[in-house]
Amino acid sequence: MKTVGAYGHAPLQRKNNVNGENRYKMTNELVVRTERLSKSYVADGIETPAVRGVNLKIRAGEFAALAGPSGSGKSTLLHLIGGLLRPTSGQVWIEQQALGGLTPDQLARLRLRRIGFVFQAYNLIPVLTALENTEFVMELQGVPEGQRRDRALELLSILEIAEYADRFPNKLSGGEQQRVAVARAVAARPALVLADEPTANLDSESGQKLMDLLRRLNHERGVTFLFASHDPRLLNQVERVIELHDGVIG
Amino acid sequence: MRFSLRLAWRNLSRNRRRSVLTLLAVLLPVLILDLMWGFSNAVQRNLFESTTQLETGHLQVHRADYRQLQTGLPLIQNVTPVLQIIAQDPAIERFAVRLDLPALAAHGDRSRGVLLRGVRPGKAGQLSALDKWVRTGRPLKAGDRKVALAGSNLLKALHLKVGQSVILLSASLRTGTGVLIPKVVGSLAPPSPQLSRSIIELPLADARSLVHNPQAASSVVVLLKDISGPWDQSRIEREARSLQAKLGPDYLVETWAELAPATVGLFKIIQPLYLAFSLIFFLLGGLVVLNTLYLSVLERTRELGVVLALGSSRRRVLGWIEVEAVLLAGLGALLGSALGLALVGWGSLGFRLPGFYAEFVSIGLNNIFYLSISPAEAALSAGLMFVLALTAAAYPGWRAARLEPVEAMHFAG
Repeated sequence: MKTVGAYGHAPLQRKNNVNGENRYKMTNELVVRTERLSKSYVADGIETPAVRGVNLKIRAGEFAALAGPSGSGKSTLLHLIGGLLRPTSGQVWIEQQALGGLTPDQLARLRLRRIGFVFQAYNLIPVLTALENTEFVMELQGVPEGQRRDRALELLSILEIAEYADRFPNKLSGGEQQRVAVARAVAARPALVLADEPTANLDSESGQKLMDLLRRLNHERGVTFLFASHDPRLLNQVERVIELHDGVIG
Repeated sequence: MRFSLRLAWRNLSRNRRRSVLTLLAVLLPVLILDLMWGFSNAVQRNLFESTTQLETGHLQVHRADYRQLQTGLPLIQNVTPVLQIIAQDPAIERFAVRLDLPALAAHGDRSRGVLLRGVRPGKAGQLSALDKWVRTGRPLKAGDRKVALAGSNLLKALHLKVGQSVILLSASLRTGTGVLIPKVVGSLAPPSPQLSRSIIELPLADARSLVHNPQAASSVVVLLKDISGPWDQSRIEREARSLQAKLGPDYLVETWAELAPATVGLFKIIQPLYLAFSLIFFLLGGLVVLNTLYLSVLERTRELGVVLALGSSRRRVLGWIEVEAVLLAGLGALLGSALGLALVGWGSLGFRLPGFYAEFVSIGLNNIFYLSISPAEAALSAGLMFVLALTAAAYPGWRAARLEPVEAMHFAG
């Protein structure tokens, strides 16, 4: 199914480079699809809509961002797509899988296999080293120790923090912690990485560095990224910006 | 599993002081229960030995109808065949013949009804506590004739002194009358005032002369080989059945438990009492584990939310908390057990309770206690605490597993 022009972007194709390695480009494969997705919060009997009737498609290999001011519903939408919140109405599909009917355990399994998360506050596990944090999701997946160690080291190397592999998070700068969080998110080869304000706590230089590295992962490894951010430094570098206002794409 | 262990270990290391205190809360109940068990076994063993070695033996042989005979003397008229059978039994370590007789004791113009106990003088032949209660004078010796030891209260009642003679008169329709005038060579101070007012110990041959029967006995007291405490009761009962079969229906073989029901009753109180006391420590230990893990889960709510968001199953999260509990409980139980066994091992060499000498001796107990604990008891105390700690971890674990990822990640506590 071609979706050319539906969101103003040409679909990208996966190609092999001269070395025979995969060179990833955006394809027609839909990683995310939402249909009339809504989420309201009820507090003290008052219903507050956060996301209203959102239809969205994210293709494999995209480098996209949800943009909008605080309270526009970016994070809520990201959480709905990540299966962390249940929608009030509507449906989310990750690849071909509708999330609506899944049990909490099935949702957890889907997140584990198909979705990577990067959080604004890094959220590394403080008692694990950078390397162990990177291995963490792979460990949950049951990847053998040697294999996950190799892959984690490779990623830390790509993200230029291999020398800090044995450091605990409290011995890393914010930028370094966020890079470890990115390594953790992509290590398990998810179909999609959801990153909520990944540069918000970083200074300009660290933020820029992180974006460069994410871009590199997107280009070289075909990792699909969907950000939620109002940071112009980030929004300037994504291929597609999806504006949200009061929970509505506009 | 290695990863989970490492994670749990590091999580426990986050708040070392709390973890160490929790470890102590697990360690102490195990240590206390081991010591309680060791002491309870020591008291039971002490009571058992006092009862069996000095009074009842492990087994006693009587005439079959001795309990039915309300009057007269229920004597074994010829004890020799009984002794021959007993002497050939390989399970029996030693035995003693006793002759207990009701009699009248008189001195001057005073007289009292007394219980005469005829024994073979010398340690091997007696199996009696009387020698331990000699207050003045001397105990009976092998070869003694026409001498006696009397309860100190009896001596007072008869205005009798050590060195003076007492007239003993035995009368029965079955045995006729007998008179003996032994010299009192010592006074006895048994713990029971009633016994002190009535007991007279004399050589077996003298007692037999009162009933005009050199083969008579009222009982044969038997000590079995390799019996260390009341926990060997099933073996004692087996040997009783075996001896009963050999002796036939004319005799009755009874175990110490049938002869000293009060001691058995004490045992039934001691162990549950100690266990109940220890259980309080166990429950406290369990509560401390629960509190520690609950606080730990509370402190890590955000982190656990992230772990759940990343795709960890709830069972896995529960498993991590349980692994932490296993580490705390396992290490605590192991250390508690090691320390408890070391102390019981030290106490097994002999443990004297200072300040209680007179009290223990007055009730016929030895003031030296030998602590002991069986492997099953040691395993049970450690295992019980381990299981309790795991059970206590279930609630914090369940709470951690039920967290909603988004809410947990925004937890401000």
